[in-house]
Amino acid sequence: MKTIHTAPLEVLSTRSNGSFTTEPHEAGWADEALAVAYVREVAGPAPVLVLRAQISADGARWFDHPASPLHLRQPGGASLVLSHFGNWLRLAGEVSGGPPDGAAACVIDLYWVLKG
Amino acid sequence: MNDSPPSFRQALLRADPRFSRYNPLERILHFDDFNTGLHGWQGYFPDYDGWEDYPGRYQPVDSVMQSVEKARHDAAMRVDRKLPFGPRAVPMLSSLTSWDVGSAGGLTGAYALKVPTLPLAGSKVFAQKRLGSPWRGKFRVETWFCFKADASDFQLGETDIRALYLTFDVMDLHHVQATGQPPRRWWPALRYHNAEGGQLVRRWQANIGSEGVKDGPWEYLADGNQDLGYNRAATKYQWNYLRFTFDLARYEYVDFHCHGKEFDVRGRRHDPLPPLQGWRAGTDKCPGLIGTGFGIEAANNKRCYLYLDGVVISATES
Repeated sequence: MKTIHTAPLEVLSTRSNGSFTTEPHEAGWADEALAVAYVREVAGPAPVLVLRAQISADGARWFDHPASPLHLRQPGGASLVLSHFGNWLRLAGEVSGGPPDGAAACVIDLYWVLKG
Repeated sequence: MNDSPPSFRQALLRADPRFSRYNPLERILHFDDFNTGLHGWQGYFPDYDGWEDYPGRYQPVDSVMQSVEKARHDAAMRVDRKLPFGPRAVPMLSSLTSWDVGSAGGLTGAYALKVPTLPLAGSKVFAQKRLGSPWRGKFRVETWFCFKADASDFQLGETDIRALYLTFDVMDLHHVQATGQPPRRWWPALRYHNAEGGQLVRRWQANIGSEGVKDGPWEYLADGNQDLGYNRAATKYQWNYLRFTFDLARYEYVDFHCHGKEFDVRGRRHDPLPPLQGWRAGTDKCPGLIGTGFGIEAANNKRCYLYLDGVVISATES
């Protein structure tokens, strides 16, 4: 039987315009990784959250995984599907179009769903 | 070395490489080998109501949204009151992989359970599992562990780790009421105070009088000094053995051993000060719970890691 594990990276997380990364996660045991993003709320003139998967050999030096990034503009769920990622994983997010006063542009939940 | 020949049971355990590093009591309840999964060790969060179907609900517990609002204005909120909203560090299966030596693996295989902190001074993270015993005897937890600070700055990082934790939330089985005794709740726990203010402390503490098991206050053990192996490089992992036993019927600590040193905890107990009130003192909904947590706390704005190679839980029937 395979092992499956869902790791919550951010829950009820408020993000305003700017960039962020999730905490490094080791998933070398898994054959597949789904980055699942739920947008609970959005605010601002044209809010968009761009999420990229990043990988690393050592957990310190990161670069983009070839998977196409997600563009999230409204409440709902979406996923990034990864199959060749080695061991270290994280998500890099870029928020824009939110309230210009620095208030939250979105409230999000992010997970790794790992199976292998 | 004991000169008397081992019993048949001892001989079996000592000849089995899964258990020969451990000293389980007569009933082995769990053997959590992290080469085969996380075995239910998950991130810790305190109670929140989240629902309205519980008429006697604990008043100090806020709803999720109340807690979110409070925490936005109180960065120093106690970890045993704070819900894990926002970015979090969570337990994971680690291959102990770094830039210089690659994958070290666990002590006995490819993986160990890693409990990471956020890169934030005071960040305190636990791997938690809600255990229990059907017997009111002794309860023992054993593990092989190591701890390191993040190696990405190439610094040793030993003083970046404030503390290691082994905490319990213990509630009586409810049939003790038949003896005329109200069910009790208590929190046996240990803390290795590793460093403070850039200086090594390296003393063990026990939970004797706190009213919050994950936040103290803690009492230093009189014989609590111990230089645990950390090793001389940021990516060299050195493993230590730990055994802790307490008595579910006597509400007492029985023994505590860490990598070659036996500490004098026999007969010590946890009596909350001030006494727990209302729901916190009660055992409603959780009879027989032995909530077990392994944790680590960062002293500086740097990730710190506690690694467990395996966990063995055992008990006696009386």
